Parts: sequence; structure tokens; C-alpha cells
Amino acid sequence: MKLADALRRMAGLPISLAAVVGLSLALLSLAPRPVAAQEATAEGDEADPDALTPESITLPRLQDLEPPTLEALLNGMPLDWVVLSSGEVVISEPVTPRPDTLNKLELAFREKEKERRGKTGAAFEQWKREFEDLRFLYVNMPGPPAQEFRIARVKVSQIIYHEDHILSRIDALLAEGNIETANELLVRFERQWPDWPGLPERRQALLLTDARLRLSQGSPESALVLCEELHVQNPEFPGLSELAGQAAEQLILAAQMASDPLQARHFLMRLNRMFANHPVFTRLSASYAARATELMNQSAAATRNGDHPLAATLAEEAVQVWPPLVNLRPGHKAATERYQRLRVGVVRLPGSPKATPFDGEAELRGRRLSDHRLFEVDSFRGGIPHYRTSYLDEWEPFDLGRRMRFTLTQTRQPWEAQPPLDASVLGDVLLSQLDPASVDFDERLSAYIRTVTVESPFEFSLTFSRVPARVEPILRNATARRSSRPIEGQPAVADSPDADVEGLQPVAFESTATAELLSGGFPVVSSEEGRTVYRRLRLEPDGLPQYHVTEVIEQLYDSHERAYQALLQGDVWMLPDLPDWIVRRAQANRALEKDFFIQKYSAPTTHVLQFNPRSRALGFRELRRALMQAIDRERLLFDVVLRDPGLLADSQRLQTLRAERGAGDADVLALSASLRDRRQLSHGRIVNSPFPSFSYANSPQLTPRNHDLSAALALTLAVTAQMGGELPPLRMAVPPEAIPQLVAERLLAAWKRVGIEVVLVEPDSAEAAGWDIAYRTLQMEEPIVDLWPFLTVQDRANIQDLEMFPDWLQQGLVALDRTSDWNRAVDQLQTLHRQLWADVRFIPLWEVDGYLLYRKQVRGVPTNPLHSYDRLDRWHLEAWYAADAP
Amino acid sequence: MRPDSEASQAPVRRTAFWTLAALAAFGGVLLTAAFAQETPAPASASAQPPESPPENPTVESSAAATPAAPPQELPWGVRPYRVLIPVTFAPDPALSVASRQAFVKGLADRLADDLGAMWTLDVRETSGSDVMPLARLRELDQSAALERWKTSPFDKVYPLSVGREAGQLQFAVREWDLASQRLGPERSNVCSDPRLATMSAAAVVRDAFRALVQIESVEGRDVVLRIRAGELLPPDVTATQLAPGDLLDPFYRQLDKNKDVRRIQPVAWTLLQVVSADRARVEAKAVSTFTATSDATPAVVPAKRRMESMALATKVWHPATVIQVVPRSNPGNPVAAARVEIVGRLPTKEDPVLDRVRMRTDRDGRVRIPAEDSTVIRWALVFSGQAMLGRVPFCPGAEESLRMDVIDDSPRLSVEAEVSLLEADLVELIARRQVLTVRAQAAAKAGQTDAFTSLLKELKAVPDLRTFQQRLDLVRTAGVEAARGRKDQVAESRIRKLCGTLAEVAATHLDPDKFAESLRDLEDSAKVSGGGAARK
Repeated sequence: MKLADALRRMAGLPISLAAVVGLSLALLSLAPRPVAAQEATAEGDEADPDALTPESITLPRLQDLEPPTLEALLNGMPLDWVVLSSGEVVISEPVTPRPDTLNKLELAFREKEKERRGKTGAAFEQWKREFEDLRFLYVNMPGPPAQEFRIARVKVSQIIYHEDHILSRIDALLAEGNIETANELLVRFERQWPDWPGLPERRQALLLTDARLRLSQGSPESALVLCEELHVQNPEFPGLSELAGQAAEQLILAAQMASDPLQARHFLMRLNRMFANHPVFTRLSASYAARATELMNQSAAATRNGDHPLAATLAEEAVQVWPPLVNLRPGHKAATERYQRLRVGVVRLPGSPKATPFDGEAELRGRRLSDHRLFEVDSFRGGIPHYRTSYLDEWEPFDLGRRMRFTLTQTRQPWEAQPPLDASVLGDVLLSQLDPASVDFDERLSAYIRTVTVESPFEFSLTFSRVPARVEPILRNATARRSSRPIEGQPAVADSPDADVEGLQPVAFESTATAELLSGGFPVVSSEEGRTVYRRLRLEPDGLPQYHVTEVIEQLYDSHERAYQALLQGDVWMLPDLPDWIVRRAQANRALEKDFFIQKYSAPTTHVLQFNPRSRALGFRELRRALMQAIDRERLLFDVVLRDPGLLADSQRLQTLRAERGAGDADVLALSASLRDRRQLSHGRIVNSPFPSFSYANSPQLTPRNHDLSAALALTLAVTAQMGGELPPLRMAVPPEAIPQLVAERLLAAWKRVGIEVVLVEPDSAEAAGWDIAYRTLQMEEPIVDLWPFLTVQDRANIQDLEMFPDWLQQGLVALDRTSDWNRAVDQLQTLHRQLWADVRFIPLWEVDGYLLYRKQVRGVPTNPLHSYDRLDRWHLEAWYAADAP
Repeated sequence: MRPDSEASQAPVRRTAFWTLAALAAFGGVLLTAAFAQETPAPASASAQPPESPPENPTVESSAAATPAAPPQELPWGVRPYRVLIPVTFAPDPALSVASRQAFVKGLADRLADDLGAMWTLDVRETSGSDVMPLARLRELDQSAALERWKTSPFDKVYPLSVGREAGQLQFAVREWDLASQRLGPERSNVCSDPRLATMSAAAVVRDAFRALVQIESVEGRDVVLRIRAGELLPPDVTATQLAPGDLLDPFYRQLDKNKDVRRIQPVAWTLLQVVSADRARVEAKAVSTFTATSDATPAVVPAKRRMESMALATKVWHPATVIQVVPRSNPGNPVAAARVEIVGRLPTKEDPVLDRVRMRTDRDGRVRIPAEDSTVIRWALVFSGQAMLGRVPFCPGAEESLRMDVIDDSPRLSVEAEVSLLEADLVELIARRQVLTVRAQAAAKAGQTDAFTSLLKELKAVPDLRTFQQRLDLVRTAGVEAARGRKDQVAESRIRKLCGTLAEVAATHLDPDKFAESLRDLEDSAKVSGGGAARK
């Protein structure tokens, strides 16, 4: 049998490629330089007597060879086919340079030729050898034994590279619709030869084929995504435009069926971004524009009828249907600025289940919208809150403060949301709070006020039986009556969110005639799945040059990240309560500054672990101390709350260094100073009180109490002995928000390490009432007044709630309440703080600076808002909608 | 007392008349008829001018018109009460002069029937400045009453106000007692049936009556009393002045050399409880805050030359008694949130009295103790922290309000706070020492030299007795200084005791010698285990 036949037979599919290659190499190794025997001779090489002569080698012909199998391509040795002018093929190891080997060699040959001038002697000989060498293509025949041959380039007609075989195979696979294998080959190919000619085309072909397949399988959205990907690579790719149109149209029709114009527009705009004026786009956009125009006309009609909520709703729908239509802008502006809706992204709505007995962030937001206090904190200066009021023109003390005369404001702006008050109504409200038989009875207020005298419709005076240190915090809640307050949990709402605005009367304000007079603010009008709507109760009249926020819609998202995305997409305009890592990300995003404001709240939010004063186990001070000393507060703050790994790492490094080298070491001092600066710049810090760190109430004489597992363990053992050898498991109530939950998880683990078992109570369960420890976030505005209710976990300061505290604490709180002199009161408060800290009546964790992130179209927000809806009644919204696709 | 024949005929006449009257009219006519009783006025009597001279229904009223000479001084037990009942009628067209006169007479008769010789009674309708309508009766206070009746010849004055509201007759009365110069609480009654008007009025007057006694002799807590007019037993046995269990409020009348009252001094927080009563003689027990622990000094003393020792009966007049706890040195700041325990008897070591009602004073230092069905003596124990501020006996409902002066406990409380926190620190110190010692022992046993050295260092760094005592001394000094500043020796001694106890505990548990010995033991055990570097 001739070798050529054998080779041909072995190159066939039934025989493995390796075997063929092995044989062909064996053949060629016997004939070094067989194809160019003359050139070899010219170089003076002597022929090996045992070598095969060229005549003895029979090479396979191209038409006789089968393309390599998939297995050979994936797992075999890469081999190139060097096709000779004679039609015969030399199968070799990959030739170099590659690809386009022959042209590159020719180019090199010509370049070398130019170097001839001026060369003589040895240099010329050297040049000549190199020059001659470029006439040949060197091929390595795989062994064993491996041998090198050279072939005159002129004898080579083409080289079919190993890569070309792969590409051909990919083409074949795509033609078969075998996407997965084609993709596998392609991925491997890309990894090895990312710049190979023809590769991008294969990738594009793969995308198109994949998209086509997906569309046929009923996945138009993934098909559209693939089309977009392909469009990025090659917008002119044949068949792409048609396929994208088909995919987009299917999606748009589905969105229309689902009555989701936003989604429909989204797909349409995606198609348009790929192919401007695509026939599908042209056809559908015309219908959308018509629908949008129709809606806007309806909106205009509603405005003429005085139905501003409907007008705003229709205008918003119109711009959702087809925002690129320029004609919509004036109508949208008129309708939405007349009836302004502020959409706010939140992760929890008021009334949703919670385990803690306090108002959560959501409830506080709701309360701030519906309650209208006589005095509101305006700012903090030197740690002392300064107050403002919308009700009073002046309040002036007489008789060394024993009498105070109040003059109610007689002018009122149309945008003001608080109820208009006259002195008789306010007097009635105050009297009801002084009446022990009333549900509004305020024991503390009744201890201060002796008489209420209404002097005229706009003037009243109070005489004090005991002059308070400050009048404003005592009276700040005078207009927020308990009887007018919704019951804890789900707020009272009107029947339908689309009910007539004038007819909306939240149940919370229906109790008494006086309560009706006190109605105002933004009470809840609907609370349904996923959103709560607050609406201005006292609407602005027609004919004003400018209107203000009328509705606040809190939209629920399942995470802060989603809420943040919704803000960026224009679904919501404001995020009131973001975790710090998102705030930092937003602050670092320069592009965000163009459209959004990020404003810091004037008071931080303090995180505290509060003990139930009625918990028997926590009556043991040693247990309270053990709980506190088991917590590494700094680690939790940096790791969980701020998610600042740099700070955490440096903090831990400092601890290690300090332990190793002592506090006086230069490195320790340097690191300590650097860390201190960074801590100050961070948005959170460790605190030792439930008050803001800048508050006047903080005692400067606190004994440091650091994380100390030994002490915690020792105290746990001590208290276990006191309790008869068994420590009952404690129950902890944690708000449903993500950060408190994560912190609680870590706390439980830390306490378990020292032998204290703590379990979480289920939200709204029966056992939630019997909590021992509660995770609480708060902003204590006026510690001198707020400390008592904070400790007793009640709304108001009542003597009977002090029963569970030791007498010295009871008397301390009473004495603080009775002090008329501000400086003495501050002294007493700081003493109490020191004692409470030593007695561990609560565990202060940290405080975190809060930020309000909102779109720039929201105007009138105070520079340093105290909370998310600070002075909401004077905010106004400039009309805006996302004109481009979301 | 009237002859029996008259007494038996009168009801018959009244019944017959009321049958006719009920048929005739309702309201004013009816009322007019009711007051008319035996001598019904003509229909035109209601229009009678007010200046018409009233009839003199009783002998006593005629005596009152002309001031009588001072009665001859009878012995206390047979000396009747001289009683004046000025009756004020609210302006009402239905009440004619005749009917008013009839009412006055009927009342006098009724009381005379009930009380007999015990009272020498003068019932009269008021006029001019003597008028005492209901509103004024309620507003009447001690000083106004004294001003009005100080020079009155009567021992007891019962201003009676008669009015009508919602078809009912209303009677209200208060007692003014000359001997104690005390105004009693308002007693009131209503009567729907005009036929029972005089009976209701008489009942309310009798209800307001407080018996007066002289303290004859005292031995320890046993007191012998003599009731005024006690020998003059009333015809109505329910009108007996005192019965076992009744309470009396003692007071002294300081007299000058002319036997005029110079000052009346109440005996604070002391009550006399009747044990037995036999006509005028009464045996009683004195219950007083002053003899709570010792009988060395009697709670009350009998009469002396210039001092009359008396007591006035007290009843459950009010629905509750409010006790206000006020610091003596700082009356403007009542003791709020103080623990008040109400007990039936004083607790002793043998009898801790577990049945206690625990209360807490409000912001004004007040606690409200509801009245009980009968006159009982209860004790109010007031605590501040661990210390008792005071204990007083009282009868719930006898007085509307009582004020209890106590020492200002704030210096001691502030020290109690600091001591309490130091106690916690001490527990932590001891526990930390213990844990570190155990860990160091374990490290020594395991031959972990580095860990042992580190733990030993940590153990030595735990504050010692000296540091602790310095802190305690600071607290004690500040507390004692504050108490001295207020000249409060009780507080000072309590502060010293508090700090002393803690110092003893600290000295026991943080004994430096024992600690040094335990350190040596640790180092030795480390040596034995091969931790020779432990001493480094």
C-alpha cells in the first residue's frame, strides 16, 4: 500500500486525526526538505543517506482530505494544512507567522532586499543567508521524531490553518442550530486567538442565530437583548433589523395587552435606539402619539372642570404613553404643577408588621405628615434646638416667666397645611390636656400649667404653677392631640384613593368637633398593597401663581438598591432613608449631581438597644453590663452599618498594634490620629447616649466602657449565680429594616459567646409585647423633656411609669422636670446621663448621619432638613418626566 | 318633749292633708302645702311680703331673738349642746313665708324628738347677712366661719341650706364647732317626697354632728374621755354620740388667765379610738405617730390649769383622703414618685404585715386613699429608696386631705445612686478578677506562657481596693457635705451608713493581701508547669 493512500485513508473520519497526523509526520520526517531539494542543495546541506527522497513521498491531495472532526478540533493537536501548487497538502504543526503567513513572508522578503546596499564581506554573506531563507516556508512535521522542512513559498498555494478549520466548524454548527457547541468552540477560540480574522463575524452570526432561536421559542425579550448586543457589534448585520423589529413588536404587544404603556414604550424606544425609524417603530409610535394626545386632551378637559387630581393623573399617563411628543409638555406642566404629586421610594410602609413597640421610620414619616405641632425644631445651634412655629406671631413671658402670653398669627398663606387656629380652640385643646378625665390628659403639662386664659380670638395666656426650663418643648405637642391620632398600626383611610378630595375625611379626625378644627397636614388617604398616599387636607385655592405639593405617594420597594434604581429611572423623586453605602456611592457619582440633590439631615439618627423596664432579668444591672460589654460596637458600625471595609481594617489594625506595642508607640499614635480624622469624616460614629452627639445633654464625665469579653463573661457568671444558676433566654424585638436585622444577628452571636441566650420575637406576635430588649432608632430632639418617655417607653411622662426604676432615678427624673433654670437642668441631665450610662439603662450603639436624596425638580426643601418631610407644605415640584426611554 | 297625744295626732293630720294636696296640685303648690303641715297657709301666703314678721314656732327661737344670759355651767356630762340651726331657703316662688316657717318649726320639732335634752336647739330662718345659700355654704372656709361664729353663744352651729332642683328638695349643712373652732364638711341630702322634708333635713343635721369629749385621764395609750351631754341620753337610740370603734380627733385649747381661748392646737397624726362607751364615760386607745414605737411619752395629755384637752368625733365624711408628702425644708417641691404603703397596723419584726397597699405619690406628692365603709385606722408608710421617710395613722375618708411633712431625702438619694453604681462596679471587679484568675490558671496548667503573662498583666491592671475606696470616699464626702449644708443629721448618718456598708464589702472581697497571695499562687503554678517566664 502506498503511503499516500494510507494517509488519505487515515485522514478520513473513521480514523482518528492523531493517528493520521502521526503517520504523515512519520512519513515526512524521513524526507528532510523533500519538497525543495534543490534549494536545500544550494545551501550546501548534505543529504542524509537514510533519508527518503522526495520522490518516495506521496502527499494527500486537498480534495481527498476530510475536515477535522469536532473532537479533533476541541481536544487534538492543532494542525495546519499547507496546500502546495500541485494540490497536495502538507499537514504540519502551526506555521509562523500566522495568519496570512505567505503575505507576511513576502513582505519580510521585500524588506530584507532593501537592506542589501552597503553590505560586504561577512555581513553580506549573513544578509544573503537570511534573504534566501525568506524564500521558504518552514514547517514542522509532528514526530516522533519531529522534523523540520522548508518549502519554497512559490510552491505553496494556500495555507488552511487550524483556526480556519474551527471557524468552518462553527459555521456548520450554526447552520445546524447547535448554538451551545458553537458557542463553546467560539469561546475557546476567542480565548486563544482573539484577533483571528473572521472571528467577529462568527460571534455576530452566533448572536443572530441565538436571537432567532429564542424568538422562535417564545422569548422575545432575550431575543431583543441579543439583537441589541449584536447591534453594538455590527448594526448592519444582515437580518438583524428584521429580527429586532419582530422581537420588539411581540414585546410591545404583550405590554399593551397587560395595559402597561411604560413597558411598551420602553421596548419601542429600545428598538428605536437600535434602528432609527424602524418600520415597527414608525407604525407603533404614531398610534402612541395619538393615544397620548387624546389623554392630554382629556386632562385639559378635567382641568377645565376643576378636577385637578384627574387632570394630573391623565397628564402623567399621557407622557408615559409617548413622552417624545413635544406637544405634551405644556399640558403636562399645567396639570402636574397644579396638582403636585411627590413620589417617594421607601422600603417599609407605615402599618406593616413590626416587632418593636415604638414608631418605626415609616410610622414617624406618617406622623410627621399628619401631626402639626405647635412648635417645631428649626435648627440645632450649639447642641440646643431652636424652635419655630407656624401658629404664633409672638410669645412673651411676664412675671419672671410665671405667665406667658401668646399671640396667634392672623395671616395665613394659602399653601400652609396646618389648621387655622384661634385662641379659643387652642385654649380648649390645652384644657383638655389638663383634664385628668380626658384621653388627652398630659400629666406633665398639667403639672406646669395652672390656668389658661383666652384673652381675645388671637391671644391667650398661660400661668405656670411651675415654670419650665423651656416653654417650647413642653408645648410643642399641644396641638397634636392623642384623640386625633390614628390607632397604632394601620392608619385610618378613606374608602377609595380616587374619592373626591373634598370628601376625604380621615377617620382619625372624626372624633370630636375640636379635633375637626385641628385637622390639617397630610393625613393618609389610602394605604394599599405597595403604596401609601398622603394628601394635603386643606387644598390650595384656584388662581394662585404657584402651587405646592398636594400628595405624597410612598412607593414600596423590596430593597434600598431597587429604590435607588427607581430614583435614577424617574419612577420616584425622592429617597428619604438610604443606607450609608448607597449615600456614599451617590455622593461619589458626579453625574448624579446634575439631576439630584443630596442633603444631610440636621440631626443624626441614633441606634440604641433599649431595655424593657419591666423585664425581670434585665433588672439585674450585671446582666445589662454583660450585654453591653459583649458588643464590639465599632466593628458592627464599620462592618454592617457603614460597610466601610477600610475603616474596619484600620480600626482592627490599630487594636492589634496597640496590644502589641502599647499606646505610646509612634506608629500607634500616627494610625490613631489618622483613624480619628477618618472617623470624623465618616457618616457614623459610636455614641454613649441616645441623644445626638452634639447635644447639650451629653455628660463629659463618662467612664469608658469598651468591648470586653472577659468582663462580659464574668458578669454573666455573676448574674447567673444571682438568678439561681439559670439565666432565662431574653427576647429581642428588632425593626424589620435590613440594617437592624443584620446587626441583631451579629449581636445574638456575640451574646451567645458569653453565655447569654437571646431570641428574636416575631413581628406582631403575641410575644412581641413581652420583649426584653428592643433595637430602636430615634432622633431625640430635646433630651431634657424626651428622656423620661424614652426610658419608660411611653408617649408621655407619667409618674406611674417610673415604678420600675430605682428611687434615685425616679427622683432624678422628677427633679429634672421641675427645674426651671436651664443651666441647672442641663447639669442635672448630664448627671443623669452619667448615672444611666454607669447603670446601663440602655445600650447606645452609634449614630448615623442621614441624607435626603431627591430630584432637583423638588423645590423648597430646607437646606438642612430635620426630617424627610420638613416643611413639606412649602415644597413645590417643577414638572418633569423622562422624555427618553427608561 | 311634746305630750303623747299631740305626737300621735300629728301624723294623722299630715296624712290627711297630703292626700288632699296631692289631688289638688303639683310642684309649688304641693311644696307650699308640705311646709304648711299642721297650719297650712292660705293660697295668698306665697305672696306675703318678706318683711312680714315670722311666727315663732318654738320657744327656743324666741329665746334666740333676745340674747340669753349665759347658762349656768353644768357638769360636762350633763351639759347639753347649745345648738343653732340657721336655715336659708333658696329663692323660690313656691316657698311661701308660711311654708318656710312651717318647715323651720317642723325641723325643730323633729330634732327635739330625736335628741331630747342633749341639744338646746334654736332653729331660725336666716335673713340679711346671715343668709347662707348652698354656694356660699360650700365656699365657707375655716377663717370665714370663725369670723362669723366666734362670738356666738352656741356650741354648735349648723347652717342649713334648703333648695330645690329637678323637683327634689336639697338640704346641705355644715357643722361649726365652737370648742375646736373647726368647720365640718358639707353633708347633704335630697328628698323627693315633700312630706319627708323635715325628716331629711333632720337626718342631714344629725349626720353633720360631731360629738365633743374631754380627755379626763391618760395612761400610756389608754385614754378616758367624757362626752359632753353624755348623760343626757337621746330618745332616739341611734343618736347615741359615740360607740366602740368610733374615732376622735384630739386638740388642746390653750387658755389665758381669763379663761379665754388663746390658741387651739390640734394634736397632729393622733387619733383616739373608742373602746367602750358607758353614758358619758368613754374608754379609748390613742393611736399616734409619736407613740408608734414607744409609750414613754403619751400621745395626748389630760386637761391642765390653762389647757383644756378635748377631742372631736370624726367620721368617714369623704370618698377618699389625699395625703400630700412634702419635704419640710423644701415645701415648694412635694415628694413625687415616693413609695407609699398603706397598712392596717404598724409592721414589726415579728409581724411584717404582708397585706399592704402599695402606692406612689404623683407629681404633687399626693396619694389618694379611698375611704372604707367604717372608721378604721390605717397607717401610711412613706419610703424613699431604702429609707422610711415617715409613718402616720389616719382614717381614710375622715379628712379630705392631709399634709405630711418629711425630711428632704435628696442628698441621701443622690448618694444612694452613686453607691448603687459603685456596688455594680464592685461586682464587676470581683467577677473579672475571678474569671481572669481562672483563665490564668488554665493557661499556666497548659504551659501557655505568653497567654499566662498577658492574663497576669490584665489581672494586675484590674482596679484594686485602694482605687475603689478612693471613689467611695469621694461619694461619701460629697454626700455628707450636702447633708451638712442642709443641716440634716439623719441624712448624714444614713449616708455614712450606706458608704460604710459598701466599704466593708469591698474590703472583704478586694482584700489586697489575699489578692497578692493568689497572684503568688498563680506564678508558682506557672513555674511548676514550666512557665518560668511568668514572673517577667
